[in-house]
Amino acid sequence: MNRDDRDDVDGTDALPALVEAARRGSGGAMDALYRRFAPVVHGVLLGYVQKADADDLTQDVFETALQRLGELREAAAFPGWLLSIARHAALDAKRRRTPLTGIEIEAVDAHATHEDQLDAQRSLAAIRALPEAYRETLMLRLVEGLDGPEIAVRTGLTPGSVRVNLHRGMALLRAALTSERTGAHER
Amino acid sequence: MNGGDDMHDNEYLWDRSGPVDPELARLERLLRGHAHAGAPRRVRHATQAKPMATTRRRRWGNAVAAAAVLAVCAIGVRAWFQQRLQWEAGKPWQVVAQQGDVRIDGRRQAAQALLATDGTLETGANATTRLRAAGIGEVAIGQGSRLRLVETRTGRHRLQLEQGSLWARVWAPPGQFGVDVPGADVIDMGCEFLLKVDADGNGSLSVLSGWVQIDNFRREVLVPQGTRVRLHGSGAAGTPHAHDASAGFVAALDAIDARGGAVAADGEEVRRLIAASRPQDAISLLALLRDHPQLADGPLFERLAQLLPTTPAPTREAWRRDRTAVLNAWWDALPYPRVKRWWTQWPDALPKRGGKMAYWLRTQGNG
Repeated sequence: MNRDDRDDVDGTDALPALVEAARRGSGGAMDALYRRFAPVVHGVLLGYVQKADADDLTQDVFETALQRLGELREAAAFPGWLLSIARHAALDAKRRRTPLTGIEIEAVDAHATHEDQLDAQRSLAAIRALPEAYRETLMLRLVEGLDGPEIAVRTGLTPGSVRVNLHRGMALLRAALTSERTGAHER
Repeated sequence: MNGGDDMHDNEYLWDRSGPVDPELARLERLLRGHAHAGAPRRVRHATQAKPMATTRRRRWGNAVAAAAVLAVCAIGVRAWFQQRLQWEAGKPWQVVAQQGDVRIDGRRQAAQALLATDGTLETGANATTRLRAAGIGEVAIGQGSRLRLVETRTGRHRLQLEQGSLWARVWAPPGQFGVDVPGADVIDMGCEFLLKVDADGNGSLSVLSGWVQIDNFRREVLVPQGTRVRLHGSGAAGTPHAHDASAGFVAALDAIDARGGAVAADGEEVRRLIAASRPQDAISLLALLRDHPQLADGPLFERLAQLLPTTPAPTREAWRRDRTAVLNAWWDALPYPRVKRWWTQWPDALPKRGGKMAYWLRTQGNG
């Protein structure tokens, strides 16, 4: 069988090869790209929208990206290109969002205690308030469970940039959470 | 909180190779429930990239076959769903189980009886009955109840509960199922709920899943799962509160409701309410603030900001500029499922998920 025809694309294949195969219509390659990059797209989206919307938008982003794959000139640039589609989708979703009284409510982890749910909300709110570079890197590290080297590979950033973003972002997050707790005690 | 231990950050934060940073580990634990769930890629034929010319015909055939299978499945699901929602106007509801003295229009009924439009169903002492609510759910009636089927047709089913207790479990788009009680309409928004009223219309509504809306033609109250609201014969509904709210909290809430919210923003009732409030009580504070905006001048505003953190944090200036936006941000932060995702409560469509209802029928609504 021609390699381009096969559907069982190895998840460890080199990125340019996967992108090329997906360009040629390989469903296996598209699935492999999705498996590899869905958590990254989801993490970036979570920096802008709530989880339920991020779940839906992740699928939308991949549909758009796979449809427009022919426009990508350099296969190695896929991570950065994909994340820019994700950021546009998130901003678009925020703009289009209709305010509804009492109806837009964030889905929660049903197994968590109420206090943990609220702490999670507070932490997410604090991360969302950080500058974009720190916000996205911390979402990928703390929510999606990727480590620094994985973040670098899957976002197209250099390991040095990711390391700096993680450290500065974490310092800002610690300060924000501490300040919130102090404020809560004073209130 | 760790004030920024670089060694922890350098190792554990970077690749988890160093000693575990407890604060980082706690954040990972708190937030992992928000991670991507690993759902498979959604495949739509139209979104696939173009195949190579040499394989185009075979791929086109596969795509057509897949699209046909998907279309058949979609048609099947749609047909089932439409079938579930379709109901001939005026078609009677089926009684599926009963115990004790159950009468329809004054006549004692055998099993498998029918309740027609305008028909009145009454249960005696220790009597219970269960009805199929058209095709969209199930209704159980407790002892000492009097109930009338007001209207039933596709898209609209209305009961009138004159007195007694009723347990409803419905899986249908919001607004299709409703129960009139003296002075107010209780509208299902895709959910399961328990309603009790006496002959004067005093009683309570407890929501077990989804949301219910109470509408007395002057004011709407949205009641989410896990909360209860008091009903008054005048048609006025109280403010929703969590099932496990403390007695002190409920008493303070009742005091504010009794005065129609016309209490001082920093008055004694509000202070008692705040002192007894927990994170689970945020829904009550938010409902109060929505109905009585003048209370935002007091400590209720700060307490709500503390219980429902949002970004950016709300200020009184923002409140004065655009109150709706602040309220919406707080609604967003409440830990309940969304009304518009009513279909995610699909277990309510399954007939066997009746453990609580069955227990309630056995214990006659004492739970």
